[in-house]
Amino acid sequence: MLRCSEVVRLISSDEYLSAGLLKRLGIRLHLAMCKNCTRYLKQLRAIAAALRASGLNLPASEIESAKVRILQSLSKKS
Amino acid sequence: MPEANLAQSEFLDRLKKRDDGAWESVVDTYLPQLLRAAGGMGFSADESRDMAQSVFVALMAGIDRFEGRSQLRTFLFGIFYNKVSEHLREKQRAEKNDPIDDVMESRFDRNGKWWQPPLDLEEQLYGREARQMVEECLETLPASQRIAFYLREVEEISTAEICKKMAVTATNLGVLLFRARNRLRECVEKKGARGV
Repeated sequence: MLRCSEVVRLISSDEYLSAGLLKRLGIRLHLAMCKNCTRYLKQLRAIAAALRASGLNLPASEIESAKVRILQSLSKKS
Repeated sequence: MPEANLAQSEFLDRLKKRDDGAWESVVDTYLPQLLRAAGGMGFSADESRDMAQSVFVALMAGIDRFEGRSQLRTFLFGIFYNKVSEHLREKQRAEKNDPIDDVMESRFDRNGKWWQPPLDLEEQLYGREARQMVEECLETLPASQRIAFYLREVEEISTAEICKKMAVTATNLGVLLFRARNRLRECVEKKGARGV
């Protein structure tokens, strides 16, 4: 049986992706029985989803001023 | 402008002839994407703008080598990722010791079982405030961790590709992701617990 600390390390480092079949099964088995590790995994997923959803939108004025500068520097090069 | 049009040879010819209108539409199409990616990786607004500018200048310098076999976006972002990893190489190497490693160790007992289990953050993590909370926490991460996390979770690039782009080994990337995710989670938990 894998320990919680090991499961947490394998998941949060993405190391489980390259782990063998047995280890991956071990992780699933552990998660099926361990409430804390399941909660931990859900939290990691929710954090990533929140960041994806945030979109990090920029104000149009900022994009516009960057665009002007870039076009100027491009026209100097051409 | 649809990607298909940008890849068309006629458009590419205009780019190679330094046609102003063609270059403007490339900047219009990709500048917001570049700024968003750079911002997501934690570069400041000024750094992001400088980086985007140098990417377009490099694109213009290299456009004659672009044969239109891949998407222009792929070519452009290839240049962008090179700039990012150059920047990283200059800025820092992955630190040997990171306080988050000790924090994580203290969370488990001698047998590797949770000693301080994760708090129930169900509501805080799925609420509308979650985004802002995560963005704030993201700012506390060192650049290399932030970039690794962003490429993996937002751009959803494979770990092998990220290793190439960031010029790190698989082991190093694992360490960066471990630290980034756990630092974020600890930060969110702290903020969330305060809000309860």
